[in-house]
Amino acid sequence: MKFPEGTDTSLERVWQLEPAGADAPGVVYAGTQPGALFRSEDGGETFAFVRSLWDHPQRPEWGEGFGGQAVHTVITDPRDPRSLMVAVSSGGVYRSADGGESWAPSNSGLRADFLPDQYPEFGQCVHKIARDPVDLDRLYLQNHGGVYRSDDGGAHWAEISEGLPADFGFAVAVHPRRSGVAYVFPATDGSDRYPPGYRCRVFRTEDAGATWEERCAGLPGEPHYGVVLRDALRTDDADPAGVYFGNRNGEVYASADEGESWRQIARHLPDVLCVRAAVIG
Amino acid sequence: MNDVLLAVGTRKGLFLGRPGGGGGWDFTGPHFPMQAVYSVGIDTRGDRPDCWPGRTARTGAPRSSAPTTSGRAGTSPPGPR
Repeated sequence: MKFPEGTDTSLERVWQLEPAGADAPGVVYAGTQPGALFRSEDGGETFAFVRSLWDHPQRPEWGEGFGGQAVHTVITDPRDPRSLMVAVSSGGVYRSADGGESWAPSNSGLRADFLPDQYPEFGQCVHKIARDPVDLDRLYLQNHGGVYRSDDGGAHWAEISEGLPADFGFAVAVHPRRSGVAYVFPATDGSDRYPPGYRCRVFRTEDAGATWEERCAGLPGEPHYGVVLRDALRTDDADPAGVYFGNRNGEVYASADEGESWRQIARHLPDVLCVRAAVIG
Repeated sequence: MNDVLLAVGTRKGLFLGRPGGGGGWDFTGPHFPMQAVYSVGIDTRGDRPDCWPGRTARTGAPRSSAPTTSGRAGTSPPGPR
């Protein structure tokens, strides 16, 4: 995987490796830093540069988040392998309906509180997006300021932060089968990237963000400073679903009961950047 | 309990966890030591799951050097597949 000649760009990091759906076997997308998209059709053996996103006229205006300038999220659609969504820090959400041949910004309703125009066409610092497993037009988004939901495939976004102790954070994850169930791990704000009140807490909604419930049974009760990064909160596909998160303190916590209770399963690791889990037997 | 593969990418390598006895978990690693693993993909579409780490080596390299980065299935670490 490398940037082609003429781009004068070197690959710095791979922020996302996303297998497409079952209807597109062998297809894998990679989101990178600097912000670009690559596509594999042979199960990740080789990757092709998605030139159309790189050549998008807005790309030169994309900014750089605290963690770098990257395409860090790739969302595929089980109904249509040609439907794609990416999130860029800080460029916002872009969608393609033609398999990545063309792209359009899709940030209606998303705030960019660090810009003079707080609702620009693009330039938002989106941190993570997750798709509802049942209502496939419903998506959840953790923004740099605000948790949002879309009910129309990402065309419009509405804030659902009310009930959370803070609207900042990095990660959002969904239940593998139950519609309306999502998880976030808030942080105080962009300049105070610790858990609010220094309390280690996961928040879960079971009604698509209308209400949020604190879920901290089994999590540390003492002051805690470990923030959870954008790809470090995930579910598995077990029944009941397992939920996992790792933090920058090098701790990993797991819930075997869909987030009701937690158990520390690893500690003293290097700071955790991402977690992924799947049932394999 | 289900047999789950948990892949944990860290600033210095990849760790792989499986449920162990007594509700605990057994981890192996670090795989790809000293390489930052910002992304992991687990592909469950085939007969057996594949685990792809997106890794970046920066050990002693100047920032301008092109790091080693790979998401190839062929780079899967030893361990459960």
